Amino acid sequence: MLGWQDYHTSNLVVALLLAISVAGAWYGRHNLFCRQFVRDFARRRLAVAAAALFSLFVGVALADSIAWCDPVAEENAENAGIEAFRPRTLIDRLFPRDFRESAYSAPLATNAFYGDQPLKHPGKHVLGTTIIGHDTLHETLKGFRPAMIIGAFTTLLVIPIAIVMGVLAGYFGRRIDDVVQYIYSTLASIPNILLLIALILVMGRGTLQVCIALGVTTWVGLCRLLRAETLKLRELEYVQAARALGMSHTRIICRHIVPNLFHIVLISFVLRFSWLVLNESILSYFGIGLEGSFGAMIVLARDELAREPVIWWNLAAASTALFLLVLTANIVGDAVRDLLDPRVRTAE
Amino acid sequence: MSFLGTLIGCGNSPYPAADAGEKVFYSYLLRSYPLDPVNAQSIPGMGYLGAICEPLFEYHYLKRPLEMQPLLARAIPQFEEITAPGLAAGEPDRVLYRLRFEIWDQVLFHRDVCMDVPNHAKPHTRELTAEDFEFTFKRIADPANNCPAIDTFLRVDGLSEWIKRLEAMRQKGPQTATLPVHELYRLAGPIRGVQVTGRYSFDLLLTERYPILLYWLAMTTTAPVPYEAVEYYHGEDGRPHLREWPIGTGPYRMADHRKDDFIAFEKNPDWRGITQPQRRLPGTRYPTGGEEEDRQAGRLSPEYVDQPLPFIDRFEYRRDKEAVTRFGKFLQGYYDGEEIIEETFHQAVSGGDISPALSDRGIRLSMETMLRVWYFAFNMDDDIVGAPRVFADPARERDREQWLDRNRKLRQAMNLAFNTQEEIDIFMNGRASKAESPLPPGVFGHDPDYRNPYRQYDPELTRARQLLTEAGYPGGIDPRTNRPLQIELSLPDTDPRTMELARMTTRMFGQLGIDLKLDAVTYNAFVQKMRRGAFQVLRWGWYADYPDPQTFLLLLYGPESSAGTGRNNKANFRNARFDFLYEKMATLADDESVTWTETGPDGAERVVTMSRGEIIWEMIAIFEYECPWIVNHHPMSFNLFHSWYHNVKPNTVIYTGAKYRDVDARLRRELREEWNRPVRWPAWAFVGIVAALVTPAVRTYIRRTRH
Repeated sequence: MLGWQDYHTSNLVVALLLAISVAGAWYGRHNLFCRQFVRDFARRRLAVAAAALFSLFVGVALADSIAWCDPVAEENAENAGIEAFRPRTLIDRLFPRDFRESAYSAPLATNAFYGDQPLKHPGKHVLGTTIIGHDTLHETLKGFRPAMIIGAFTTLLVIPIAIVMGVLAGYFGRRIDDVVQYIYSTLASIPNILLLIALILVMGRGTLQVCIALGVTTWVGLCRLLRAETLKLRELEYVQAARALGMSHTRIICRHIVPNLFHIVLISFVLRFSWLVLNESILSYFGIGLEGSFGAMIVLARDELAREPVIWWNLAAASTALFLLVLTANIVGDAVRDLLDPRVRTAE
Repeated sequence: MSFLGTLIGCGNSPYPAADAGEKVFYSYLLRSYPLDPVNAQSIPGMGYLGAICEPLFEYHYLKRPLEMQPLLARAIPQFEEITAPGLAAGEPDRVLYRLRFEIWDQVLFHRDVCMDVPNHAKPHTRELTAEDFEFTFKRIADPANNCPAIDTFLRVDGLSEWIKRLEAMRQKGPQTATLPVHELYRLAGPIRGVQVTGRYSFDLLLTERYPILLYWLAMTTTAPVPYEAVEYYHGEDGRPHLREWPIGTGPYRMADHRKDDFIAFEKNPDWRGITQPQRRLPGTRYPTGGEEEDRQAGRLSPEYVDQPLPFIDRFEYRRDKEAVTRFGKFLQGYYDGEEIIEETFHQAVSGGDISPALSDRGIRLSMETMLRVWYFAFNMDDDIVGAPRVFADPARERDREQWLDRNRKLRQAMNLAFNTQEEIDIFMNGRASKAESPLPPGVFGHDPDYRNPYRQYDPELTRARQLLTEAGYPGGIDPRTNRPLQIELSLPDTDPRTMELARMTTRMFGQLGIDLKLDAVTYNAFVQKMRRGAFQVLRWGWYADYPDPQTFLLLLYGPESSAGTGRNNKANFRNARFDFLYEKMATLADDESVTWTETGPDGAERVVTMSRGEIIWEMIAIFEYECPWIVNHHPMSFNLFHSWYHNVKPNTVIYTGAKYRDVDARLRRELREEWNRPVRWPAWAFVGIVAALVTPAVRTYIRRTRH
């Protein structure tokens, strides 16, 4: 849920993201490699369908990040009520104001689930309502934003750490390699979930904290891959040649090593995404996840299954959304790996 | 195939087959609770202890409102005012209040190895004497035991000096520090206000007339524990600790205790009710009278009235953590009683009564309002919602009177805007009664006809809006920011359920135009916030140990303020008149009154006489006007009982109920068998499917090997 003021930041971030992706597309338009990639990708029907669905989810998350308050006239302020001062996102605006009941109602029901009073919006709640009468479809759509934030933001935290550590360890070897290996072996030897919980208990709750905690536990895997790849690259002829010509280490790393690692980074970004979203659900299970995430919805709905008659729609909506998000991310990820990984490509 | 054999051959009973015909009570535990009487505070723990230990008094099992009656004591003593000589020569005489206790003779402790001093070879017992009470009072006083009754017992003459002497002995050195506790207590000398006057009699001398003390003497906290048990059960050398293996004089004794897993107690064959039934001592026979509802519920059937106690032979509690499976086992007859929770509510209750599916099985439902109160506390030290001694904002301090008034109106408006009934309906399935004052039903001073004018919810919020405007926030708009007024609600955990409840609360105050911000933290951080007084509004509750208004009104008593001390007045409410009345009320019994002189508004001295009830009503009037809380609800407990489980009358402060209850083991066995006929066809179907899958493979194999 958005606070009072931070919606401006959120809008700015969305604008920035859109600008970057437009610029990227513009640049990629003439790039031979990108064009090839798009052409190959388009040949895989399943991947294209998954990518379309995934982009839809991204779209929902972006739409839920664009918010503004409707202006309140000075003289009306006293009667406007608190809702008028709350920023509403594009997703919120899809639903009428005050679109809620007092408690549970089944999907498309006309009467309350308990007590049988007529609803305020009979037949309008496509996926029913939650315990305090919020529309389940609305809540589910709002769940995509925390999922995307977790997936994307954590990865953005992880990639620089992993690249710096992995390349330094692989390229220079010796002491640096020992230190880096020592750090990541220690981290890897602590069970992930325990480390996550401990970190969050130390840092406190919040979006940034959850991302950092997930980042600390995930950089190890990527770092190992990058170190191994760097070890290989450093022995290749063109790197040897560059060194023989007297190029500086920095220049070699920037020109010859890092660009040749990027397919690994991209693949791991897409594959990690679903892992991160699932792990956030586990954190929610322990009560330390993000508010409004699918994990939190599932935890809240867990006890509803034990009710008689059973209340299934909240759990069903949240788990279906989570399932689709993770599935599409995985399919897209697999396709990207198949297209970018030289080994898999040559095997074809 | 042996797996299939077990599958088909046996039922679903979780208990050994041999127990089926015995009078064993079956229930569950979530974890182990510390069971040392002096500091056990958990509700299940005190329930177990009520069967094992006996205090001086108990409550009548059936009568309501609760009535105290003697148990180990021969009678309930009255306060006698006595004059004692001054502490030092030349000091004036002091007025003390004496309680004279006579206890029953031939009361034996549990037969246990700890009582066989010094060999500890075979179980042994001995008689309870007045000296055991002296030892028990010293244990209550000992700071190492962290006894919840200590605040009350500090009114015993000389108790605080004794504590100082004890601490000094402990610091003296290793010789005294390693002494057995009773030796150390002996070295620290007697407590001046605890005087053993005979083998079966002792006096308590109090510096203040304080009837609340008698309630503590009806709780297991003050139940006598033999010094031998304290010395022997120290938790080392393979022995359990006293908190795992309590010893007392009760009708049951510990039979087995595996931590967090299993606990059992059995009938104590040395209990005076069993060995000396002809003496008809109090608390050893089933009551002969009760309420009309007891007659209807069969709790006064001739089969039980005046019969020697106890009825049940053995109590067994096994670990079972999941509420849903527990309810399933209850329905199958493997638990004798079960509390209804939110998830099982709609299965068990329909239309305000027990659902037909359950009543067809003979299951009965009991509903009881508990001696508890839940509320939102405003931090009275806060500039925005409170009435601090000094406003942090100098501008407010300058206009002090005006801001006190405006803040009060804000609290009153918020009281009017919170719809308790909606919370009860949605989150508790109606299992609570709306609170009008801090006092729940069943407590002296609770008036069922009283309606707190600030707790009457009106969906239009007319009065609330008007008060909010008068408080300076028209429509909830804070003139300083031209935005809705922000108030922070602190929550003790981040559980999604708590968050949903909080979102509902946000919505309710949102209707008034107030923007409620949520501050959800871990429980520890929450407790820290309370202690520092760094919050605006928080949600909190109070579970009473005894049925007296004092324990609820204490939550608003100024010197009990929580900021900086962690004590119980979470709102940090300080009101001179309220505190004055509290001090008067706390020393009175329900039917007494007190007289004092005070200066009236006209400046003239006058003599005031008020009864305890009148004092409480004036305190509630102050509470109503000042609104330091939004008093929310008193939760109810809904319990289900099987037809074979008799004489159950749940109550949150009666802990000695175990001996009065009974199970009909024969009926239970029959019904269990009827309800749990094994369904065998899935097992046979499984065999059939496996056979159908394996046969073609076997045939193919045989065919191929032949060729």
